Order: sequence, then structure tokens, then C-alpha cells
Amino acid sequence: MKNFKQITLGLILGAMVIGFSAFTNAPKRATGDVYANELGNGSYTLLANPYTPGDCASASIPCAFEVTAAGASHVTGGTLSSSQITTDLNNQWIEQEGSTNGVYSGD
Amino acid sequence: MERVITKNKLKFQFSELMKERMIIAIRWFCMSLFLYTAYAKIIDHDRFLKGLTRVHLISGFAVFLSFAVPIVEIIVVLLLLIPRIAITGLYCFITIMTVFTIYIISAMTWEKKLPCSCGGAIEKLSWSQHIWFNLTYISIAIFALWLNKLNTSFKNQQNEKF
Repeated sequence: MKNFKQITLGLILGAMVIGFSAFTNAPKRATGDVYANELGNGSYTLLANPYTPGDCASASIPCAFEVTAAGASHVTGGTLSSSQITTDLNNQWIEQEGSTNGVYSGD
Repeated sequence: MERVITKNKLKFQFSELMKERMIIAIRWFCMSLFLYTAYAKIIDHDRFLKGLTRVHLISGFAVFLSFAVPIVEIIVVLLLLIPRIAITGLYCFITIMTVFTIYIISAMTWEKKLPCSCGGAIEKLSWSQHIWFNLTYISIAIFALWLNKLNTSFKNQQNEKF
């Protein structure tokens, strides 16, 4: 009976933890997520794999942007348009990844 | 809590009920941490996986780890929940937290930029804060094991008396 009471209270606590977790785990970008110039049209797409600067070539605009710690809870979505890039840069939510320019051919 | 002086030795003694309650509270405290982080990793699994692929040290096992870590955390939660096997749960908890801490220290040594995919609000900690956070949990769990050992030896002494 004592064990049953402990398990029940533990389960109630578990339910409370999951409830609390739902508030703090709303999908957002992580610090260090990289958006790259894959399309070559000024919009940037979120990379699923590690960014490789060697895969950037033949364009004069930045190859990739990285989400900063301040931007982790603000930058959302799989693609950032050129106007969103400007806004996010002004707010310091993203920063250029390295100093490489170009169109990104990695995945 | 009482303070007892025996043969020049000063030691604190907890009542048996207090010890038992403290062990339960610590078990639930540890359980809450793993449940919280496991839940965060499962509901945003893609992001967790991406975070792991960015750490070169473990990127080769990223897919495996992205499933294994939350599953192991849930198993430890279940061990901690069931009173009969809770002590095994505490040992597992200490082992896993130690592995996480060693991983953080080695990743800090080898990686220039580290993404934290630890789940939930814990991601907001810096890496050194993270190490202290882990060490605190490990110490608390060791304290619970120590209390349990005291409890067991006390019960053995009582049995010998009667």
C-alpha cells in the first residue's frame, strides 16, 4: 500500500513535469542552427547537416547565417527571406557564419 | 534532525522517517529532471538530432544516440519511480549523469562551437554552468545512496538487538 502510494504520487509528479515541459519546449531554433544560401536568390534555408564552408561558391552574398543565443527563441521556420535576414541581423538574432560568400551546394 | 556527540566525534543523525522521506524526495527530484529532458528530446526530436550531428565527436552515432538517450532516460525514470528498484535507479542516474558530464568536458575540449541539445530550459545554461548543474545532481543522488546505506545499517543493528 505504501509502495502504491509512492508510485501514484510519483506519477502525479511526472504528469506535472510533462505539463511544465510543454510550456518550455515550444518548437524553436537552437543556438548554432545554420541557414544557408542554397537557392541563390537571397533566401536562406535551414541546414539539416553540418555546415561546410568549402561548399560555398560563386556569389557575392554571405553563404550562411548562424542563429545566436539571443535569436534562439525568435528565429523560426525552415526558410528566411532576405527581409527577414535583414531584420534578424539588426536584432543580432543571427550572425554571418564565418566570412565566406557564395551559393551553398552542401545538404 | 539531532546532533549527537560520541567520543569526540560530532555527527548529525536523521530520524529514520526523515531519511526515508529525503531519499524519496531526491528520487523524485532526479526523476523529474530525466522525465523533463526526455520529453523535450522526444517532442523536438529533429532539433535534438541536428544538434548531435553538429558535434563531430559523436556525429557518427547521432541517429542512434538521438533515440537511445531519451529511451535510457525514460528507463531510469521508471527505475526511480518503483520503490523496490529505486536504488538501482539512483545508481543508473549517477552513471548516466557522469557520462553526460564527461561528454560535456571532452566536447568543450575538442569542439569550437557547441550546440546544446539537452532539452527545455536547461539549454539556456552555459557549458560551465551545465557541468556544475550535473555535479549538483550527482552529489544529491550520492547523498541519497549514503542515506539509504545508513538506513540499512540501522535496520540491521535493530534486527541484531532483537
